[in-house]
Amino acid sequence: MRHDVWATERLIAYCRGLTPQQLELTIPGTYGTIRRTLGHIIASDEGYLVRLLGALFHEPPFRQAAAEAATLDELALHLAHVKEGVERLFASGDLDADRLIADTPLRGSGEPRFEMNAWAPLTQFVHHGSDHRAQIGTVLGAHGLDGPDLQVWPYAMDLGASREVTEAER
Amino acid sequence: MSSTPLEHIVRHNTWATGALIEFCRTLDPAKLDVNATGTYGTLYETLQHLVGAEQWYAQLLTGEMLGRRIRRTDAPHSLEELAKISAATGARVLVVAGSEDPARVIVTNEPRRSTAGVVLAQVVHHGNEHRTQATTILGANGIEPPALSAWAYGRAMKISTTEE
Repeated sequence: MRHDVWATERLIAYCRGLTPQQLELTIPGTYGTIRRTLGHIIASDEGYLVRLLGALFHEPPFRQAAAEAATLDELALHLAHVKEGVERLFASGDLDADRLIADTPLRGSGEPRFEMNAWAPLTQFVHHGSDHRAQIGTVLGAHGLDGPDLQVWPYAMDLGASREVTEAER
Repeated sequence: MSSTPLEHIVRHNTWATGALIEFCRTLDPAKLDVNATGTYGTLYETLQHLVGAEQWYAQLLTGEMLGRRIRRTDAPHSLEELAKISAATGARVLVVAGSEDPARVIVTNEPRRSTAGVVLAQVVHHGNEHRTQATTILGANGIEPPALSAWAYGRAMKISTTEE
């Protein structure tokens, strides 16, 4: 989950170097424009964590429509909430995959209530970020732009969990 | 199904690759050669790369090569063979996920060192990334791709009813 947040942070940082027109690029078969896809990733991340933690991050919630029209600064602000939420989840120690979550504070009146085990939003959190960042990578590549490397390898290098060993250490 | 969150994440990864290969087996074989700009390669090349990488990750974690080694330069392996290797790899990675010390140091490509936890995270990331490229290729070529989300995994395993 930390890799997921790191990768989205790195992608936003990369996108700050794009023109407003480039942020609106898309290709068929993907979710939509780069900016819209970034907003969708982050609003969904907040949604999964609100369900897992059982409390809103802020009022009003960051809904999909607002997220998909947000600026990069607004998205970065909400990604900071996601980052904090992930750490709160780890700190809670409550990572029982089978814990039944009866509802989400994000559910509006009249909307159906879904019960689910905690593993479902946790697994979807990891899948969803990689899924949509890969779409943005495809959009960038299709328009001749070389996107950032968002694999786990550079993340691990940043953390010092992966490194090249010197000749003397071998 | 009682599992840790990581085990579900690994199970989802294996299930999703299997479901994607199964879907591709129903296509006209000529469709395996379609592509979309900005992705890894053709639909088939993406599948072979995805499964070959997971075979390598499993070897890094266990020292064991499961099935015939898939190399980048290989002639196409059959989808049936890719499905078998993917299932075997997924099963081994699942065992590792339940028992491995995430801090154990692993030599990836000499002189590079990493840890078991990083390799496990890369298994999941890499699978999601390239499956998305495959579904993008399908969508860009007018073929409705299969649902491969964790929600779809939960429905397929009959342990969740949540929709996308």
